[in-house]
Amino acid sequence: MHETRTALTALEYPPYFTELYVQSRGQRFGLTLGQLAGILQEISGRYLPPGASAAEVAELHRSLRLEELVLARACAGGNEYAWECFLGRYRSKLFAAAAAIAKEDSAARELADGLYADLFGMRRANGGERVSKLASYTGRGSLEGWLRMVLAQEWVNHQRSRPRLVSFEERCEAGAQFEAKPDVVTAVDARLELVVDEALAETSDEERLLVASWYLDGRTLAEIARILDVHESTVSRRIDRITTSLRKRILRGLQKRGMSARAAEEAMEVDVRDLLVDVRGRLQGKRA
Amino acid sequence: MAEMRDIVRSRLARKTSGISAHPDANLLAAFTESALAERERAGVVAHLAECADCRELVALASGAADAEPVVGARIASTGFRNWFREYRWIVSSAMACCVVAAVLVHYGEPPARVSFVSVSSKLAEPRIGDSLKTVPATPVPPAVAHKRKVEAVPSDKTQPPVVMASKKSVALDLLTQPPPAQPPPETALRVSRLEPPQADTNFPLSLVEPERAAAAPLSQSPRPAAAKQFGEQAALAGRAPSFAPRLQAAGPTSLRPVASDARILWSINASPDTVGKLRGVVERSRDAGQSWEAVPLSERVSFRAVATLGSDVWAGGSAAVLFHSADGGSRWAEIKIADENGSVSSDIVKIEVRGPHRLTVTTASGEVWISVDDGKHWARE
Repeated sequence: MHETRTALTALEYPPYFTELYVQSRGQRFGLTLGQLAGILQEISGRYLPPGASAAEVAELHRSLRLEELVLARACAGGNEYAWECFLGRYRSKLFAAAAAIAKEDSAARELADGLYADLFGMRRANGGERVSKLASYTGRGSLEGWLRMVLAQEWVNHQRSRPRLVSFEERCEAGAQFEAKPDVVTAVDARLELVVDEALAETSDEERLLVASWYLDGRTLAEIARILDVHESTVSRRIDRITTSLRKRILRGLQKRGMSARAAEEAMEVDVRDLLVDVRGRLQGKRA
Repeated sequence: MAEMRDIVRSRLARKTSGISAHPDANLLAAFTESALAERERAGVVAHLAECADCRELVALASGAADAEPVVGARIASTGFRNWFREYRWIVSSAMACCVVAAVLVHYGEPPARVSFVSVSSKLAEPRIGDSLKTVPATPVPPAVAHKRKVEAVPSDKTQPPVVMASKKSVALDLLTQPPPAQPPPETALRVSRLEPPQADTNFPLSLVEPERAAAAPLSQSPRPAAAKQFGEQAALAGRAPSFAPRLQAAGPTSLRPVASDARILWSINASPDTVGKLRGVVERSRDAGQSWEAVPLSERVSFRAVATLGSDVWAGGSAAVLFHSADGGSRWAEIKIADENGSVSSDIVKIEVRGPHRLTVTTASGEVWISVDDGKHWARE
């Protein structure tokens, strides 16, 4: 494998590096302690601020999945034995994950094959050197989880790159509305939008993640529970609690801005289409 | 709360601009595995709350994680609990199967269980009055017939081994009798037994020749499935080293030990070729019912009943025809059933051998004819 840049000499290695080197079993792939030290230094420099303490650095290093990190880096370096280990350990899991993401066999195989090419490094950098995606694995999570995440990213990119094809029959059936541009309407009461924004700002990040996943993304309780690694009932309870809290805050905010209680209730019943909502435009604008 | 959903959704959708840099796949993967420090996790959660794209990635990857167990952080949770959760339906099915099997073993029994066992000849000679009993043949409910089972278990090697006779086979005989109008009301199916007779008072029993039975082995009465046809009667005969019969299953058939080791079973239309045919054919099996051979007695007669006692074999059927063989079926002679007042005209539907030289024949019209000299002379009962 190609030499990893190291900034430390052997004498400057922290004592725990030797322990980490043993844990990583890097000697199987011909990885030296110096190479591992260089990898660890690179990772800590990536995730920690420049002024991070030695304790923070050590904590980060110890939290890494060293054995998988070494395997990935050895694969990226072209070590055949490492590839043999990688394929034996992750091949079936990779295809299973691709099948779960693509939900269609041929697409899943195409997705997994495409990722294999990227992992092996079919693309070459300007200098002609192979660039393997595995070199970007840092061991923060499991290698399998990282592979799933990369697969998901590849799948999303693939879906986005596909032109949106609409059959002629579909266009005809859709009629004039199909081509109609979304109406840009003004809010019935600007205070409502302002109050909702304020109420959302008062919620915590995790509450907003819950609300966004539930209301905006339309995810199921099971999906949200998987994301947050909690039980579905917990998600359900928290969403109910957050919704109730938001409603109270919004009503209170509207009343603070001069609305009567009844007017605030009526404002809450406004047709959402009358609000200034342009999801597609927002997404396009964000991508641009 | 419906309006809350729409309002919040609309405002959240507007907040997708101005989000921070996307965390890399390593951090997102670590987030899904709860492997991030609290500070980093908070940063990822804050980003996910604003970034629909990353939420989509995390949701896709998390959904794919369920396809297989995750290596690493979650591998610790792939213990017995996850194994049971994944395969609990198999465990439940297996338990249900075990319960059903236990119930079947306890309350059911195979359709025709037969065992031929040779035993010692030291068995004491049974006495007629000890255990033989005759009752009229009344239809026995299948459930009752299933439960009936007589067995004799030897206490040691010098005693007879287990001899089991499935009474279900007899019950099948009962059930496969001709319709009630055809057989006479006093039609009796026979089973002889040496064990306490009071245990099965409802079960059809018949007399057996104890002297000869004590000196001869018992053959069980396998009831091949092919023999379970309406209007059929089966006769079973067997040979084995000398031992006393514990039970002789009967029905329309009689079970008789003979003097040699060769076991011969007699039946009507028991082979697959003749089962279900209207014309009854006398058949015998020399291999415990595995295969059957037709005994060509008469082409014009449809046989309805066969009975044996020792080497004597009796077969009767249509037109009051009765055949007798005194040598185990090698040579046959047609017997005329008649007395001074007349002869039998209807079909013979039942033959009962009640002892040496003693024979009872029942016709379809309900007549019962008795002979006490091996069919030489007959008298209407």
